[in-house]
Amino acid sequence: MALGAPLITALTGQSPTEFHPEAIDPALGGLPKGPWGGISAEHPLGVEPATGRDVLARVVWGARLSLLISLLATLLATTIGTVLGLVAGFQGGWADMVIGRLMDLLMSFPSLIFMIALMSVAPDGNRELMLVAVLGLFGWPYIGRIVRGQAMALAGREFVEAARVLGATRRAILFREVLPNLTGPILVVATLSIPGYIATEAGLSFLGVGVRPPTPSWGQMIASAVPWYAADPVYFLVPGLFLLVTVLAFNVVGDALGDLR
Amino acid sequence: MIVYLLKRLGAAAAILLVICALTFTIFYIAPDDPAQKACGKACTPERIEQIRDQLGLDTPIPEQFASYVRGIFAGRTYGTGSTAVECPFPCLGFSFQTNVPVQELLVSRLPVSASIAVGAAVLWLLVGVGAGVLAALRKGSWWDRTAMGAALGGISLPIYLTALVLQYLLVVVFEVLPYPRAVGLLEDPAGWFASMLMPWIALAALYAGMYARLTRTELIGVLSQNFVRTARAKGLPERTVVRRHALRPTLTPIVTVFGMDLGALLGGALITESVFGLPGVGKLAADAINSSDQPVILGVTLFAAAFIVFANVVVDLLYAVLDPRIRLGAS
Amino acid sequence: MSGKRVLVALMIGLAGVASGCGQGGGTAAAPQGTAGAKAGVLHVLASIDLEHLDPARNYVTSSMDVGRLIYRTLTTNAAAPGPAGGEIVPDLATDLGTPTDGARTWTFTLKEGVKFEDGRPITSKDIKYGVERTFAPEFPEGPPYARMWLRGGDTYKGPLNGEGLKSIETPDDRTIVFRLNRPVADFGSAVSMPFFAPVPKDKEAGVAYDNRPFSSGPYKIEKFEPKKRIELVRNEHWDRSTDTVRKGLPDRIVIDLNLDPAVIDQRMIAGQGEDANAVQFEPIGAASVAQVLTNPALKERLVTGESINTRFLSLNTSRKPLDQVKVRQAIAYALDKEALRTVRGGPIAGDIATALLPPAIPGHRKEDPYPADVAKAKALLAEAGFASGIDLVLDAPATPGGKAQGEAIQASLGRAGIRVKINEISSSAFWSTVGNASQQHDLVIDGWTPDWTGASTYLPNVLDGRFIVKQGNQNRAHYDSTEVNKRFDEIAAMTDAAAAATAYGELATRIMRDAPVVPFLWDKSAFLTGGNVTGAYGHVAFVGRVDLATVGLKSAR
Repeated sequence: MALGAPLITALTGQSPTEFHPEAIDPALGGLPKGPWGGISAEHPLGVEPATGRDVLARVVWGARLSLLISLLATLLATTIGTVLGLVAGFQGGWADMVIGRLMDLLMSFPSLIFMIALMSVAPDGNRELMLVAVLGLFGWPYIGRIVRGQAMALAGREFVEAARVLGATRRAILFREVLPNLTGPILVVATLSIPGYIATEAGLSFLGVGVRPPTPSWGQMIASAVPWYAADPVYFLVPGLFLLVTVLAFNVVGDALGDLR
Repeated sequence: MIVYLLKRLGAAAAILLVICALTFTIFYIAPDDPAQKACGKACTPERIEQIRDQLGLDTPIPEQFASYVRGIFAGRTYGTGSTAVECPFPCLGFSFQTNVPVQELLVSRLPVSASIAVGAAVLWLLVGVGAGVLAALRKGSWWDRTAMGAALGGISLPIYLTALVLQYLLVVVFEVLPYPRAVGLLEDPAGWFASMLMPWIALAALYAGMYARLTRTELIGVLSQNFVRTARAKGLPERTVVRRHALRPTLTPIVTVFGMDLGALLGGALITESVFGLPGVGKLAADAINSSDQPVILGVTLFAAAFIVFANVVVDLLYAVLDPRIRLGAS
Repeated sequence: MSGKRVLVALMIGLAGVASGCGQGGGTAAAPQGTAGAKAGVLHVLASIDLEHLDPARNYVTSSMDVGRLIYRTLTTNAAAPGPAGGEIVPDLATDLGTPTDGARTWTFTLKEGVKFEDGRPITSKDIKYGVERTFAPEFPEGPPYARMWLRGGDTYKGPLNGEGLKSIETPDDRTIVFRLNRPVADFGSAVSMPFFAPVPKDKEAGVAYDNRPFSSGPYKIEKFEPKKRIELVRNEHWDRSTDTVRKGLPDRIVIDLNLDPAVIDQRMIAGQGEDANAVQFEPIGAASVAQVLTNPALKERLVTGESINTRFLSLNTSRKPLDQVKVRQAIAYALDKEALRTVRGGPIAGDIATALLPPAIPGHRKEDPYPADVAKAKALLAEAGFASGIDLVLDAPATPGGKAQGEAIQASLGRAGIRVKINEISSSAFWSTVGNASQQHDLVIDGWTPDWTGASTYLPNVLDGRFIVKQGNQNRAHYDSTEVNKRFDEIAAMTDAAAAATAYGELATRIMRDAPVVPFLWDKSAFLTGGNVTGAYGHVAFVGRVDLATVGLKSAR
């Protein structure tokens, strides 16, 4: 659905940023005309109060953004977490100490507040990439810790010893012997972390430090819907339910993957 | 024991110092000029200079940081002469917006955050752990499946959605609850309860799911262990087995997570407080972010970090009480 | 004891509301009700903060509204709804001052029996000291008039080092004389500003005076928790017979600060318990308009107020291609003012501005040089050589409202091929950033409220090219026309107020031909009052906020 955002908006002929003054009533503060938040054939999920922008178009473009950011953040966190976790678990010694302390530190951070602080002073520019970087930065220790534990266990196993005896380089052992044995758990943890990133990205946008307008995002939509909740409940329900369903879907998949293990 | 405690506290303080330094650095490498933010609408070059001077922005960053940390422990004085302002211990600086000492703001906001956090925690522990225990004991039953399905749904719930649906239904449509507002527990217990009920439910819905899943997994694991089998084999009734033997080891990991969660919430439930418009530490942070009130953001970050870090220490100590196998100081 | 009177008050109150609504529509409603009990606790729910209460530093309308409860000034705004509130009436002084020496010397006489909160009489020396304080570099927030006008004001550094200002004379305890360096026809209006409030010298506390200004008005500060709440109690030494403006009805006034605006709206709509005794300090939000207007009971509790605030988009004429008048005119034609008004709440938020001067300011002319016309905008751009459109950067505050307005500007100018990028600036740094020539971009969401009703503290402040400065700049259009600057001087020298007003009106029309700014809204405010509140109306001097000095409660519940 997210990938099809341009397609869906092409089909409905609605742009996520175009104002539709005819769909709202300025005399009532810009309340959408018609019941259920202005749902009509033209605007299947209604329109945004005060501007008349098409909610469906904004929700699907928001989905695109949300999934893109959270998937990239997962990729980033998984890569850093796996590499550093492997090094810490396999190498031991001072590397383990440094990386371990770093993970402890990052995990005892009030990460949401810190991410907000970071995003609020970040210069304008590519906000999407900045979000990915910030989410990845605070996300990797959770994967790193698990990888480290698994790598430590694997380091003493016979096949690793065997490879070592055969004269394989440390790097070869890490990537040929240890890593393949870790793909299962890494995949599960990564999948389970996606909904967290989606929710966090929405939270950051909700608090006004996410992407810049007029780029639509779910968190931003919900934030602007809060004052309208009594007059136009449909407006918060739509992005809220999309967020719920998406997060739930990833949780169910992650749960199932976890059970398979 | 005491040596261990001191060690843990020392480590906690070190972590806080690092967090403080990092946050501090972020703000001072930021492109915006703090003096400009503190300057307001009628901002003249002289005024900017005056503020730079008063905040000590002309001194090197390490020096500024040192004065900041010194301020936390000993208080400090900003500026000199007739414009000098005294900032008493534990000084976290003054808000750019209102010139109020940040520590005063935090203290005045804490009761609201604490009310939300503690109430929600009680609710989610009762519901979450209760549901988890029942699900584990009746593993595979319809109850287990329903409860775990609900738990998965619960952890997926965006807090805004829960909060707004609750508020729409209970306040606007059915008018059974008033709009949440900051009421002191001692001033007006009934009003306090009515105001806090929705935030509690909204937060507990999220956390209860997590705790139910955790409790179930842990208890199932414990129930399959040898000492439980032994107890069963001795012919003890199942109820006694669970109560006397299985529950305690199950609680250990839950306490760990609980300490962290409660610590984090005491440092402010940003989104919950924002949606319900409750003036807790989280709302303070959200407002400060909106107006880039750096001293307040810095203060809240440290405050929240302190809660999390010390929750960690407390959890470690509780470990020893709950699990006699762990002897502190042994390692 | 007062049961019967209360009942009568209640009935009159209802009648007042009904008639106010009957007149309804575009004009400001009459104050709700007429009589209020001289008792009770009035609650004020504010979503904002009080910036400064120290009279030397109090220069925002919200704090000035609260300041009016705590201190009196030589003159003040009349207590009346609509444009009548713009009239200046005597307060501590017996009249509006006597000008001599071609309006270069102004003499005021204090009323008898005016007292501070500790019972001591207010003397001309206290006024003098209060004005002297505004020169201190420690208190930079106040308006610049004293520094600009008083003789020797350019070098005076305030009384904190023990030095006085010679151009303020106090021949006796009830007479004060100001000697100015130029003729100022409306000095009698200027002394209505808070920095002409009395401050006893022995109460000087430097910057800390901000937390507890000494009271000369009907209320004194009992408790002040900054950012949270301020509690005012009756000042027993304030004598109503000396004050024709303030009523001092409730026993206490409790102002809750920094509440969430949406929560205030919802609490006021519900109106439960204590909230029946509450008034809302800021206008209701756009999201609550529908709820209020579709419910007759709520509509009755809605009070409207006019203002002299004009919102405009400043076009930075020092940057290309905005240095070309055709490009600026194209923007004026392309801007969708209706969309901008709608994101601010629709017609309830104000009238669409078509000229620089709002209708409440004398000299206003009914004209609309740039009616919305996208085709014309495109044609003008093409004529200027930008047929393929232009790219501009808009400076907007990073608040939900600022973002919404930014998006409305972006969408509406986009229709004419003007591509706008929004540069969000944190709200606390907004004015100092756009007032800094090196940090300002092409467009700024701007606006201005004159210090008193009239164009003299509006047009020169924002459009006189000689006031352009590198930092703290208010001429954000960087508009500098020799012809216009010269005319400003000529009008300032006029001693006939009516002629000056007409001249300002003509000049405003002249300026708009160059389109350095695009006015889009003349603010109005609409706020809810609790069911037990009476006498509330929106005051023009406080951007249509409730006049706190006259509001009361029907009964002391």
